[in-house]
Amino acid sequence: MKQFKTYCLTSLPLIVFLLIWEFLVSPIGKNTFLFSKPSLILKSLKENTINLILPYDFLITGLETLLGFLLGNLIGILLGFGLWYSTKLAEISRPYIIAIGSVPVFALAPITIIWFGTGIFAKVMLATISTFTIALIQAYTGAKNADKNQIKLLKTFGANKNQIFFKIIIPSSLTWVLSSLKLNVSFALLGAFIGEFISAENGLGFRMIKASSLYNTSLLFSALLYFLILSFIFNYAINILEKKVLFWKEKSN
Amino acid sequence: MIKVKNICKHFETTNGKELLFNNLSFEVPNGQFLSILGPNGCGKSTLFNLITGVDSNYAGKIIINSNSNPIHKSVSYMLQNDLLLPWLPVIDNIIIGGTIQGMSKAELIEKSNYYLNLLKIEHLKNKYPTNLSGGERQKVALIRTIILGTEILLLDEPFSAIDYNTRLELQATIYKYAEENNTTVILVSHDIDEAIAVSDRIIILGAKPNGIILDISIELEIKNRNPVTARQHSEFAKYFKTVWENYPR
Repeated sequence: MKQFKTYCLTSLPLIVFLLIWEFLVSPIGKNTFLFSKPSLILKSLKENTINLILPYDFLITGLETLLGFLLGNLIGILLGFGLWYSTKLAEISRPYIIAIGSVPVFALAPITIIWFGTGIFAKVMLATISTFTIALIQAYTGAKNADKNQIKLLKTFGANKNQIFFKIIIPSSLTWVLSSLKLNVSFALLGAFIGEFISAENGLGFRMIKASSLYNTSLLFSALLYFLILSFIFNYAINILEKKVLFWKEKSN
Repeated sequence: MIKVKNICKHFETTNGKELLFNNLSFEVPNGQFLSILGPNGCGKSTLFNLITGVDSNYAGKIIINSNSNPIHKSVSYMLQNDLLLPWLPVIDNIIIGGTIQGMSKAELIEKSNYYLNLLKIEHLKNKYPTNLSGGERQKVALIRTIILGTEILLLDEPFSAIDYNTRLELQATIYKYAEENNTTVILVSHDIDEAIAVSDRIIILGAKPNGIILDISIELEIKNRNPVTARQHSEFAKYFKTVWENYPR
């Protein structure tokens, strides 16, 4: 009952917002063209879902995001942990990491399209580039912030660097890694979206750009809703992963 | 046997190098329970880092059992902070040192169960450290240390953050363990009572770089000596007075 009440209270602002939107826009015809309204968006959503246009775009963008997310995080995490192994390498690579991290992904989009074409691979690459730096920095910071006394204790047991890495560094960095995964959901979506924005024939980003150029605001909002669903799915999956990986925190509570 | 010979140790401060030990020398024969007392910053914990090899940046020589084994095979180390790994259950925390050293897992678990029963925390073996009280955590850390069966135990203020009853219980466990296994123990402490109750000998380190300012044997003739009976001994007050009068303030 208490949970139901919370759901109602959470939904209330959205319902009020939708009602205001619906009834404020309706009486003035011109505004409907610019702003659309919930009932029209719902109609467009239904039509474009039944004719499979939006579900197909959803799958394409989802696949690009997923592959880019996995690739970017995998490379970033491996390199981040790798830098823990060599302080010298970490020092040498620091300016390059900062340089890569400070270039906006939008600036890299044109060259990515030239190198990897207009297909799905270019979008995957953009999503990879978007997520890589955060994953790397978070993994490295997590590794560097591992408890020095825990490391010292393992050294007194005679542990070598690999044993310290697997028994202390990885488990204690997981909180950092998981928070980077959460952050990177948005960045991977952004990378895929930018790729589709620059050049594509499918995908939610492409659909939104096309709808925008045709002033089809209802379709634009429908695609945006699919985008939100995609983001929710990713976040939900990360939350489940977090519970599985950081199970000891749950047990502690 | 531990031989600490002419140790000189500097450490870096904002004002340059500062001398911590100047020709520090002492020996601890096999089976002796030695307590080292001293004010904060006199280098008690640093000395342990040197003995365990965690810090090798010093002049002089430290010889442990003729240095025939790697240090970790002869020495185990227990700190004030229990340093239990929160992602491992109690039993895995206990056997971690042994598994790193390649000891048999079955044997380690058997030994763990013995000590878990002895300290009455058998029911906690599958719990995670954050579910444990401070005293329970320290008991687990103690088992993790003694399960390695090394000839030398280094205890760095292991009882300072726990309640009095648990402290006495742990002191008694360590004392009995050391006695039964002829283990050499060095205990670093701030607590004069504790040091007299469990030790065969007490060293007081002065403020840096003075080195040893008192080195006395504690001889309490009691049958079944333990930290409680030791405190009740008629000589206890005499030792307390000697240590107290020499303790740097």
